[in-house]
Amino acid sequence: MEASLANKVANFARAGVPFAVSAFLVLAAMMPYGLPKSSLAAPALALISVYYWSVFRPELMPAGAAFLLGLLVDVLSGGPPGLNALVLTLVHWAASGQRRVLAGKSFAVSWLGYLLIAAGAAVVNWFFASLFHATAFASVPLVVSYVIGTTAYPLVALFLARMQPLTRSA
Amino acid sequence: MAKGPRLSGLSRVAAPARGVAQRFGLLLLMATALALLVLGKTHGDAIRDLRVMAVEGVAPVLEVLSAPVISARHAFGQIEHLWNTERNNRVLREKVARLSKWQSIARNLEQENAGLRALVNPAPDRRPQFISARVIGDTSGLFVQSALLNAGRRDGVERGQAVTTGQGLAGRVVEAGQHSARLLLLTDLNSRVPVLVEHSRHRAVLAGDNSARPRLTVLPANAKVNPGDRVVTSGHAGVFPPGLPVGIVSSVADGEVHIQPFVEWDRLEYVTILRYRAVPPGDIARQNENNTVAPGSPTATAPAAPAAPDSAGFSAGAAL
Repeated sequence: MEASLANKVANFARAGVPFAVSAFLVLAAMMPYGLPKSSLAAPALALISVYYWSVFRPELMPAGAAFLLGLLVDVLSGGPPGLNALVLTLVHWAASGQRRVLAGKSFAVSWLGYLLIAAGAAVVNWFFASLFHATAFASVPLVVSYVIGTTAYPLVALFLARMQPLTRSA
Repeated sequence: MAKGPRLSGLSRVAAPARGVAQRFGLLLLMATALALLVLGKTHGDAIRDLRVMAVEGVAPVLEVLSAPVISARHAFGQIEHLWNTERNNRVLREKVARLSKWQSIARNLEQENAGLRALVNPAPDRRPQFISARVIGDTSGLFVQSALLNAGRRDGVERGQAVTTGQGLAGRVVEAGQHSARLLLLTDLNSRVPVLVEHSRHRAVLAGDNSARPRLTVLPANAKVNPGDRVVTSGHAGVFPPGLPVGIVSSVADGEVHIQPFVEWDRLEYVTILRYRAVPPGDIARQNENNTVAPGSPTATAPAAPAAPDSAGFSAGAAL
């Protein structure tokens, strides 16, 4: 009994790894580095995380976790409440829906998939933010964030792949 | 994965049900997110309070994580400083020579000011008190330019207070929790600061537009503004103390005036929050009676003597 309880706790902790790693990436991106635009990496990193886990281990990044991660970004950035939650839930839906196409193929395919889904996410983001503030937003930060995400994807995906063994049950 | 074959019989039945549940959950989450967006628009205050509470929960983590980041920045700063010692020495010597002249001018003006004040006995501006805080999060995102600070209501921080660095005005407090607060940078789309063009004394409103150079709006049509003019807070609306340096006019074109703020955003580490409230008319007489500080004496609350002509306006505002 004890062993099984310990197992349950361990499995629970393992299941929490993807969310914890993603949340840590978001917080780390928001540190005051004193580098211009560095904080724009936060939404991009959240997007990469949700995309990656939704494609490769969708059971460990359920829609609720994607939603919560988006809410974390919303709370910290002070932007329109629920916007990133909506965007990341959509990203989870799109990525896990197409995982047969995206997973298991070459790395380039998953990267290309990220590019497309991130572009869609940027459009949704821009649309709802403009609606929320009743003004057509300058899209420069969105483009900067998109470029950061695109260039960072291989590195972050490599890092997340290294984290993946932590999620496997013994 | 290993359980797959054993469950296949069950999953054949359960899979469609699970699919429906998942789809329903997904729709529920999206509906919740949309509801939050709508509530953010219709019940902005309540949503803001919830956000303040949530930030309070994350702030300790940010504070711990950011400490080594700040230390590393200092270490790099030290190295850079050592590397440039010779050049810095030269620059500082030139600055000292220039500021010595300013000092003697300031002394003369101080005397003259004290004499004139004694003659007219003006209503004193309330002196702001200072709260120092560290930036624990650079949270400028896709749509909002803000930073999180490690001081809150417990330290006397309230919504609306002006936030400055040694260089000038950085923005204002828009959210204040018990131990943390959010600083809205003056470059943000929602930032409006009543300002004064120092030379012409024209009043205007500095409006952020999410670019690095906010715009002067509500400027009188006949106002003459030239690149290089200093812009300071006007103190109108009673939110900010008057005379805080804000920036210099960087461009005037097609009726659009843009300001280059004095604050270097990349160096935002420690900030000063000003506890200031404009004097309500009824209080002025009482304050005059209580005003025991001799005109011209150094102010007790000012943290530092004017370091440069740039901040002279600020110190003058604080010392009046």
